[in-house]
This record gives sequence, C-alpha cells and structure tokens, in this order.
Amino acid sequence: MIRLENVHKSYPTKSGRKVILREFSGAFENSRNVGILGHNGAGKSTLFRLLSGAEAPDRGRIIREGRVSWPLGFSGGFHNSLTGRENVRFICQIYGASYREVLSFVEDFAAIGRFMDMPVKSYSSGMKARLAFGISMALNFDYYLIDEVVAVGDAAFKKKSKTVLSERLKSSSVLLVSHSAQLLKEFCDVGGVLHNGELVFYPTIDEAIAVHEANQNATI
Amino acid sequence: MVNALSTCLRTIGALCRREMLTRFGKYRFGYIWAFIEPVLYIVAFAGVRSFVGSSSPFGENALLFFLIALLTFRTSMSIVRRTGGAIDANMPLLALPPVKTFDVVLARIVVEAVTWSVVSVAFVLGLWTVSGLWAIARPDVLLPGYLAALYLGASLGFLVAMLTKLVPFFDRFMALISLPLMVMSGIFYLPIAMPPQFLAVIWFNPFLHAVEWVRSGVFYTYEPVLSRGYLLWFATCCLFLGLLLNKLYQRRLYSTA
Repeated sequence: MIRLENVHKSYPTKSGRKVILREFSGAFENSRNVGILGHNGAGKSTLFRLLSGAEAPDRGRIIREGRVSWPLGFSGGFHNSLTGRENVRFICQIYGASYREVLSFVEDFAAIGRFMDMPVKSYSSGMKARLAFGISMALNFDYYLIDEVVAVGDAAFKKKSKTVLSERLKSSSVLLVSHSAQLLKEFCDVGGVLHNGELVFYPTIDEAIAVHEANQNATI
Repeated sequence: MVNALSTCLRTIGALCRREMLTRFGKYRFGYIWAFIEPVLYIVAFAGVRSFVGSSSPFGENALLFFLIALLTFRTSMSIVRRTGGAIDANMPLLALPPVKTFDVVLARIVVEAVTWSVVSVAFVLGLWTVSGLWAIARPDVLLPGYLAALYLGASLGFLVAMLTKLVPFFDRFMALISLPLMVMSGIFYLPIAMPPQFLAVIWFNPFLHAVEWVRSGVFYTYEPVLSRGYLLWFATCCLFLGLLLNKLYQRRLYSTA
C-alpha cells in the first residue's frame, strides 16, 4: 500500500503557485490497478514523482509498503552520456539486481540492437521508453508507475509489452497515466482523476474516464 | 536502517562508477589529462625560470617547491569545481528515487579526491626516482596537510554545489575566481617574503593555508604563512552552511521540474 497523509504539493509558475495536491489523504492499494487521468499540466508527472519518492511533498507524509518503481516515462532515469548498457548496469546496481539477468532480458525485450552500446542521447524517445520499460519489467517492483510508455512502437512490440505487463500484474500493481482510454480499460480496475489540486477516485475506470471527459469539455 | 544504509552505499558506488566513465566524455582521456596537466605547468614553469634565470624561492629544488604546492592546490580546487557541478550533471538520475542529491555530491568528491591523490603520489614518486631525493621531510605534517586540502575541497565543493543550483550564474562566478585564487595561493613565490599589504589580502585565501601546510611537511626549516585553525574553521563553516542550504532548500534542490 502507498498511503498519503495530508499531502500538499505545489510549485511556482510564472502565473503564481500551482497546487497539484491540496491536503490529500488516501491510499493506493496493492491489489488495485489505477488509471490516472487529468488534463495536460494537472500534475500527473509530479504526482508520480511524489509517489516514487523522487520528490518530497511540501507538507504531509507518504508511506510506501513495498517496492515502488521510478516514474517510467519518456524522460528521466537515464544518463545521456552513458550507453544503454551502462545505464542498465547503473540501475541494477542501485536496486541491487543482477546485471546479467536484467541485461539479457532487456536486450531481448527492448530489441534496440547495437544501440545498447551507444550513448542514450542518440536514442529516439521511443527507444528510451522501450529501454526504461524493459528494465523496470526485469526488476521486481510491487508498484509500477507508468507514464504513457506501455505501448510504443510497432504492433508486435505493443503486443509484447502488454503480455509482459499482464504477467507482472499477477503479483504487482500498476498506476498508469495514459491518454488512451482503451489502454486504461485494458489494465486498470479503478480510476483517479486529478483536477484543480484534487485527486478523486472512482470505483470503475469507465466512470473516471467519463468524469475526465466532462472536465475536459468544461474547460474548453 | 541497515537496508537504507546498504541502498545508500550501493547508490554511491554506482554513481562513482558513472563518474569515472564520463569524467571527460566518451574518450576516457580524462585520466591521462589529470597527469598531463601538472606536467604542462612544470614545463611552463621551467621555461619561465630558464628565461628569467632566478634562483629557487626556497630550498635547493625549485621544482619540488612549486610542484608540491601546485598539486595541493589543484587537488583542492578540482574537488571544488567538479563537486560544484555535481547536481546539474546528474539531474536525470535524480528521477530515480534511491539517488539523492547528497549521494551525487559525495560520489564526485570521492572520485576527484582519489584521482588527485593518485596523481600527487605518482608525481612525488616520479620526482624521487628522477632526482634521487626523498622529497618529504616530515610525512607526519604533510599527510594531515594534504587531508586538510581534501577536506577544504569537499566542504567548499558541497557548498558550491548548493549555490550553483540556487544562485544563477554561480558556476560562472566560480570559473572567474579560480585563477585569481591560484595566483593568491603562494604557489609561484615564497609567501612569507611578500610585502605585508599583499600578505594581508592573500592570508584570507584558505587554499594558501592548505598549500603552506603541505609545504611545511616537505622542508625541515620552512617558515609557512599558516593558520591551521583558520583553514579548518573555514572548511567546517562551508560544510555546515552547505548542509543548512541542503536542508532549507531541499525541495528546490530535489525538484526535477
């Protein structure tokens, strides 16, 4: 379980402080896969950084029981001057995982070939996403924080990543940010909508999607 | 608790490895450069001396007088400069929750301190081999002096790392003052023989005290301009100020946005 107690988070923008979470208390349970919705700039990425522990809240506490992944997205987590292989090694070392096992899985899964020996700065964003997703699937996290990177690339790769994720979700949970309603419906049991500093949970993902769409239309 | 400590040690280990891989880009030329740089200074110094034809500022071996000071200064200053850029250079890795600003800074201190210690030892041994002179008269003075230089580099470097992140253009400022500081560290001249007005200014440069401390471990009869207390207090104040800033501005330092 990831429990949030009176968590408050805001950050400064050009037009004053933007509140991401206003004194929020609640929990992400480990048997539930949660789809997170919110318009661009609502703070979904910041929420993930808070949940992972990469960033501290302004006030309040976040209690994590179990291992939480870093926010898996198109950026962050890799050092640009290091090669893919060196980045894999770095991540294995900090998480105390076997480099050889993870590497063989990632090479096979991400299928980016000789790019493994090139600096990450030469990668396309899709390749970075494949690498990040591959590494995280090789490590055993109890919670995966995934920001849009489940299904990138061609149809065959999409299928492969969905299969691997489904396998993982037998023992782990996912918190998924996605603009794809179909993907959310496929993997998530419940939904949360982040809107104007409030995070509201809904018992089904369909309901969350409906609320989110209503919010979108209201702001337009 | 034990778990947290082992995660922290693993992280620092991984960061040290990463620093060594990228210290000078992908050509891995950096380690050779660390040796070439002092050699270039020596060549320039020897060239100027043969041109001017002056005698050694102190003792018989001018090269020793100069080299020891240069290595001490470069050790300390390199740690400051490298550590100062630690957070910016590792921003993407701070997205990984186990990686904390403190680890990133510490890893750079360790790598730079080890690099320059090895370079310094190599040069002292090299000089010993070439000239046949055992350079160090009082290892019991030299060693604490060199450790004080490392301590100054680490503490000031930690503070600079915080300031670089919090104050715009602070890295430019550091780049600007590092040469004057080198000139004011008594590397090329005998500090005690300087005019009092000049001495009154350079006395406040902590690097001068580190250089003089190490030098007084090399020559038996050396008269240094040295306040060990000033050096150690200066470094300790930097360390505490750095820790304070790290605590106060934790959110701004951690934030990757």
